[in-house]
Amino acid sequence: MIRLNQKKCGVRIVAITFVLFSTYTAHAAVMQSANYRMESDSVNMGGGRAGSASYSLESTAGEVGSGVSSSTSYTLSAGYQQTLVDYLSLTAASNVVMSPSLGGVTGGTANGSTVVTVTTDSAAGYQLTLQATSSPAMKSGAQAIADYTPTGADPDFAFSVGANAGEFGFSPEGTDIAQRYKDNGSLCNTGSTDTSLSCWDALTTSARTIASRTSGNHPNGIVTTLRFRTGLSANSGIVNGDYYATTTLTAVSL
Amino acid sequence: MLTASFAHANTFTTKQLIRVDDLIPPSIPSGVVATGVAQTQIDISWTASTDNIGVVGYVLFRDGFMIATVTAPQTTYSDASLSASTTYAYTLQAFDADFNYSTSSATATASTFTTAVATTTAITTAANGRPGTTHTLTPESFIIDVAPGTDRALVNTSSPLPVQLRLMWGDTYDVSEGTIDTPLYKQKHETLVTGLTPNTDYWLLVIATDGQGRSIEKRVKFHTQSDIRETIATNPSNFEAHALEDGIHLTWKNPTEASFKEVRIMRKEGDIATDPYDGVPIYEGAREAFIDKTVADGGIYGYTIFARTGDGSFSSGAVLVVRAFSKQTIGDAQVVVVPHGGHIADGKNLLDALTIIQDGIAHDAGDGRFILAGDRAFTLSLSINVVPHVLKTIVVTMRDPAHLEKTFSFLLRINAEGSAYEARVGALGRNGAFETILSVLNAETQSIESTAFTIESQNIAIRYGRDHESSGGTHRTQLVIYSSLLLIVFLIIARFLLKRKHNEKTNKK
Repeated sequence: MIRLNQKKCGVRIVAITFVLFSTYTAHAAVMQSANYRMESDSVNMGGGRAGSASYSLESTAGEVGSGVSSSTSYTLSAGYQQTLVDYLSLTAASNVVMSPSLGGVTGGTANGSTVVTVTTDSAAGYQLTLQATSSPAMKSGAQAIADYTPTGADPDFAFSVGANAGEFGFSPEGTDIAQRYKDNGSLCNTGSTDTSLSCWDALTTSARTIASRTSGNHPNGIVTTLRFRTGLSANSGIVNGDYYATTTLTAVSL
Repeated sequence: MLTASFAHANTFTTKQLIRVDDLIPPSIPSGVVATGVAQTQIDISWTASTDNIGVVGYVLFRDGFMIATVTAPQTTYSDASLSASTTYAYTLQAFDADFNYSTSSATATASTFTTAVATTTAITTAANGRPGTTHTLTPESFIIDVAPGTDRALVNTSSPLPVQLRLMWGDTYDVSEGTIDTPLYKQKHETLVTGLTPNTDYWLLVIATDGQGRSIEKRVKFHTQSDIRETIATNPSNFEAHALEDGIHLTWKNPTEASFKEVRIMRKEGDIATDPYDGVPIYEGAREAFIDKTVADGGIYGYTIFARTGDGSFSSGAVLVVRAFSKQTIGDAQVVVVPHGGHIADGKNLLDALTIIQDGIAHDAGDGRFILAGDRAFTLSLSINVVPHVLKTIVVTMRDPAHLEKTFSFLLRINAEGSAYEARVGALGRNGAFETILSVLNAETQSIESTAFTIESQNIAIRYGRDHESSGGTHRTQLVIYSSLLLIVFLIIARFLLKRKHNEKTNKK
């Protein structure tokens, strides 16, 4: 099975199988490169599984027919030895417009949110990460609103901004949120509660896990709500303009 | 089997608008007036402030302490729960969306009333905010307006003085079914009374108490609306025929309801069609005139016009009988009168079983007169319990009070629930007394049971024609209506007899 789960997949299987068969004779290999990863393949003779520091391989004997079918969310390889790629879907997050608009001198608090659903049939579950494309995340040309700064290592249970400052942060909510964002009613990264509008954190340019689970949730999936907040204290020094934060959500089946 | 991990990612943006700050506060509220209206209440009013962006609200202070925030554009506040015989000072500040606050307004002071005086039925005192003018609170100056629905009634009151209200209601005079108190003293109150029974008489007792504890009482009666559905299609109106040389000219007016789609006219020779599939269809469409050219010289024809709604249901049908133009006849007045051969029985029980429904309110005849709004359609409904359980035809004929020569007949048909024979009639369109006769033909016994009554059309702003009130005129009208009606009845009886004769012949064979 090839990691490229498009229509060309079947053609490439044939081509790569031919190359491998030529090189390794009676073995089918599980291998990967920068562009693809082969989970398994088969040949019609021999069997067994082998591995090296670079590759592992598994093969079967006696396979007569095989095929590949795919959709946008999954790829199924059928055959004597089947390789099943997990079903995984991540709904598109809509763009967020924070409300209300804020005055840099008068200050205030603006809120916004977006919702995504992750669905997977992977028995090992999934992981959802959030990553900003810039630091600070919220920018308007050369101007920026600072990323939220929690008081300690954990997210802040309550959102607060110091004097003459402005900050932008986020808080995930949902059944599968990471322990970092759970709370005990007053502190985060402790307890098992998901208090709404609590546990505020900074967006970072490195992927930060915001939700995960260790089992499949197909077909219903799990909703995670991402809440954003901008807080400006009076005389924050933030000049007027349209500020944007570009953020990427990534779901990976485990 | 092997499994492989898989990943999806999507990117989105979050936008935050930082706008130019509004640093300009609203203008100072002006015209602040405080008025004592009760032992426990002072009303404050002021003139609205202005702002470069917009006034969001007002903060109200009493004796220097904030007591309330009022959302713009409201510019009044009633400060209740005060102490009697006490003077209070009020100031205001307006604020905008950026919480820019105006300077405090000028101070307005007022005192609550002194302790209560004895209850009276007429109260004279200075009016709210207009010292020097006296107003009297009497049952006459205290106005109650009740707008009943099916299970609720909206009660609006107005009085020359601010008053508290106690509303008590019930379907009997002792008004024991419910009570509502309105704590604030106001000159106008709007109160919703709920939990009422449809189509029921209610008594409402309103006790108005002014700021000094003096009360008056006023009692009114109202009737909740019926929850009877008026779902049948409305008949075309003004269905008329003129027999001319080129054919029979039919004219009518289509119903005005939005659900109306078209009419269907059925014709029968020497008979009338009693349903939309009986006879020969001669016209279907939304026009309001048709010439039936396929008639025989001097032939007698019954026409029934049905209105059809968008969902395919038909009205009960309006009917007329006309004789076609004959070269042997001089003149063109061709609507014929045929002597009847049946027996007309007293139809008093019909009147008792007849209900006219308009705007969901069911009206009973009482003294033989229904009073209806002339600008809206209504439904005649005759209970199935009073009509024969055999072949029958129910016809209603009305006479236009402004054009005494014009009558208008329509059929009643069984409703969808099978509980009554009904017809929906369009707005009468003019004031006046429409003399009406309802007849039930029992074709088996060849008898007719009839009842006469009046539908009084009112509240049309423009009057048409002349009134028609004298008893002698009413009597003549009824005679003419009967003669028109009897033609229709005659045709129906003839049809029944022919069918019976045909059946007998068939049986002998």
